[in-house]
Amino acid sequence: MSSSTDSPTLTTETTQLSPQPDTETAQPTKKITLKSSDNQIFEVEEAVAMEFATVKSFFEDSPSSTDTVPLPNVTAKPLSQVIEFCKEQIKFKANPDEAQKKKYHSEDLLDVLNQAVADRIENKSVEYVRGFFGIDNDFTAEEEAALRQEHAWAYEGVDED
Amino acid sequence: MSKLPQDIIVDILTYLPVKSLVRLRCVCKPWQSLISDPRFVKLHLKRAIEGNNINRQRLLVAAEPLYSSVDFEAASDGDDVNAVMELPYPSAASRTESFAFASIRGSCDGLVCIRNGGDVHDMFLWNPSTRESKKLPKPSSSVQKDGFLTGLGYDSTIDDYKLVIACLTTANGSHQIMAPEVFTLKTNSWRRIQGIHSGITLEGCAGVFWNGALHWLGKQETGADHDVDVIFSLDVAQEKFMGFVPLPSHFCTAVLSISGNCLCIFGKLHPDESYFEAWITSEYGVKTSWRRRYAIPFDRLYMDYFSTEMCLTKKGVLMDHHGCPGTLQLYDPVEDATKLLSVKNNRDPMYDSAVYTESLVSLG
Repeated sequence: MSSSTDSPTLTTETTQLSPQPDTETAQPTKKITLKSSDNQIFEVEEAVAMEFATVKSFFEDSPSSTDTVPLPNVTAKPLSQVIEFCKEQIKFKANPDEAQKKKYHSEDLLDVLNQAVADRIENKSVEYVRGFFGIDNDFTAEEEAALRQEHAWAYEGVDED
Repeated sequence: MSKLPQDIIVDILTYLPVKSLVRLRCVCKPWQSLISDPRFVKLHLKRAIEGNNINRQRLLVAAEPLYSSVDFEAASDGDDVNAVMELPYPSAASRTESFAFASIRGSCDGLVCIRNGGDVHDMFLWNPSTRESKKLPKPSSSVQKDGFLTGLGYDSTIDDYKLVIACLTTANGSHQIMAPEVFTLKTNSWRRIQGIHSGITLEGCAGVFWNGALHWLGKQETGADHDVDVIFSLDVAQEKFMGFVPLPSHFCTAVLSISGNCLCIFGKLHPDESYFEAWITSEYGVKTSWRRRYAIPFDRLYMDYFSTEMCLTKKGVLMDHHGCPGTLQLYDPVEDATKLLSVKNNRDPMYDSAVYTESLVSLG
């Protein structure tokens, strides 16, 4: 997982954020760089990045790594939405009253994730989708062949697995 | 059947286009029954209409015997390769006459009604997304030469689709709508309904389904000669012709259309106007809720006479190009540019088009 990348690594950067009026201490924030499967770079605060299990385990494996964390399972669009969600999550954890008011956010996130999954399987073969969801094929060979024959056009132009 | 909870699977599948879902029926038996379940079909349709990030609106172009589906949002985003798809000839269509002209008589929830023979009563229903089609029995009334109005709508009270047909005729110097009949999909039969209307001429005969009712543009005989001044409507559940829905203004020529959840009207206010206007409303029957979206100068468009079908895309306006059969034009008001898009056709200027929403709705 930890391969060198062509993008600059910024994990140890200690740029101070502009002081917030109602936060008691403005800590220097560690930043982590994430890379989506379509090679978009996202620079996020450590606390936000640690909301991602993949990122967390990456740093548990190599705590002092300064590499960009590759996220080969997600494209830029859903990733940016998930990052926004994690930022909100952290704010809400710090201020639960506000969190109560905005509980609906988690439903938005589910929409984003479900759509991202749909985008991923949209052009995939039946075999790929079975593997993706861990579903066993319960059709007999004859039943499956008949179904495929009935709507042969729907099996055209499918991505290679 | 999977590690994911069922409701998550259902939700994911509602985001998929129809072609993927037809293919994924083959994943396993539970998926096959889920994707065919009418409740799932409704959830999927709801997502298609309400989803902000997905694009399920298509333009059906019927240039007998060639039928094409145009993804006009993809086209306006510059993806010409995937924008136009030729459809196989619908199995229920009667390919009888060499001069047959296909006319789209209604569009609702992904179903379209098409007349493609010489006989005005020779019609079929078609879901171009699933490719299912069904020939309709003939209605009982004898049709007058003047023409007839039609419309396809959904009756939520009985969960069924209805096709409405009525004769347009002239009696004692006055225009009349006569002998209305309704076809219901589940019963597969026609029956007469009540209602005769005088003193109104209708513009364009295929009604637009919106908010549980069918809508046609019309002219009142009491109005000025060239005024399109009313929207005539029929409540699909009650099967009754209703009062008039107010227009934002009088038009000299106009077409009615649907964009997402809104009703749109495109037209010219005066014959000597050099631009046409696109108006939109999301509130039923409230004159002040109409908003003007665009005013587009005619010299930006290729127009000899008025298009029969226009629709609002996210970026602008899509319409037929009458000087060049089988060509569509997309006007982008922000860039003030018109883009042309070719649809395969037999160079016959006689073709028709209608907007439909991709759906799994079955004719079975």
